[in-house]
Amino acid sequence: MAKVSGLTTTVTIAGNDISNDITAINADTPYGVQDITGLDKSAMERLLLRADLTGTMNGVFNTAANKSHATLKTPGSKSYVCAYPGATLTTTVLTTNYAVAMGADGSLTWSCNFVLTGGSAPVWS
Amino acid sequence: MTKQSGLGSELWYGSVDLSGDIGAVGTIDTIRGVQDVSAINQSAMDRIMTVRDGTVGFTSFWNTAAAHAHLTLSALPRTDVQVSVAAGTPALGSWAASLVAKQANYSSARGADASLVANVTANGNGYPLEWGELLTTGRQTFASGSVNTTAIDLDTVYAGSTSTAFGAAAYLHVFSLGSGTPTLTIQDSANNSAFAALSPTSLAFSPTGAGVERQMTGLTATVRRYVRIAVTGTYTNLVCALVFVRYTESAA
Repeated sequence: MAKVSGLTTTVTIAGNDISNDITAINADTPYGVQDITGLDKSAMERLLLRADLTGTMNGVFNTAANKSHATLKTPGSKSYVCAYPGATLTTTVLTTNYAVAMGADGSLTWSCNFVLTGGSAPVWS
Repeated sequence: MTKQSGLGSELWYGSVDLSGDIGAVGTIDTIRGVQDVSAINQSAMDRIMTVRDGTVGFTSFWNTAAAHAHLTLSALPRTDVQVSVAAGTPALGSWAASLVAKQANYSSARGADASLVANVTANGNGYPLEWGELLTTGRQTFASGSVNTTAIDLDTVYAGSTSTAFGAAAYLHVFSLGSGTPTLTIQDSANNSAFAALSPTSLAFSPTGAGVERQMTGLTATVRRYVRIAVTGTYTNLVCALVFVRYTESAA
């Protein structure tokens, strides 16, 4: 496959497809890093530690059944499937907040932060 | 319902409707703490949820008239305030966020352009910010006598669901009361025909004037599909709004 854009991406949280409510999503899959540089080394030595996932999604307020408001209004453990063009990231996350903002321009948007839970690394397929 | 803007939203601060003085509500945040419980035998992070919390932050215009923003917010009470924000034009069954909070500040800002606004943050106290549905048509006037509101339907939010078993909470804002003492009892029904007060813990409010109150059931109480308010008693001109929070997962 050639280089692609994010058109189109689908996001399913807790079994609900809320793709159409999401305007942006970021997900980082870092490893913890331990500095193990010995006294006898002139360059850094490192070990990779636990896998993690942190992310943020932003969207537009929608109270339709099984859409973003119903899915995200209560933070907690939720299944997470993000299907980018050609690759899908699947895991279980904790959503740690649901922040709604009413702008002075009349807009109504939300943001939600999420982190890994369960002790299993996220899986790309 | 589809994606919506915030046009028509309302903000109720205690027994005062501040909607006309609010320029923006920058924060309506439901928060959970997180504890790292990753064990030595796990190769990926493991976390659990801890305390619940909530914050409402907004910017008000400078209005010194009675029952408007400046006099209401500059009082900086040390007691709890109850804040509710209705997202979009309030209607029966529309969503609102409610918070019992401590008002943390009243921060005035006079801009170089001569604008004058105040920023307020309210942080949760004892309860998290909770999203619920209006059982009233926004600020609703009950003239007198016994009135049953139209019920809201769980199925419109969670298609196929007929009841929940995790209890509920309710936030009442009374903006004014002409006279007497009404009783507002929250009732549920399986068929939108035969209603009864929530059981085993009834949610019933008996305001005697303008004010606020939060009540909740036990965390294992069953709440059936249809929910409404039954207003009874001898009273005149009750103006109020009630946000009903149905818990859809265990908060125990």
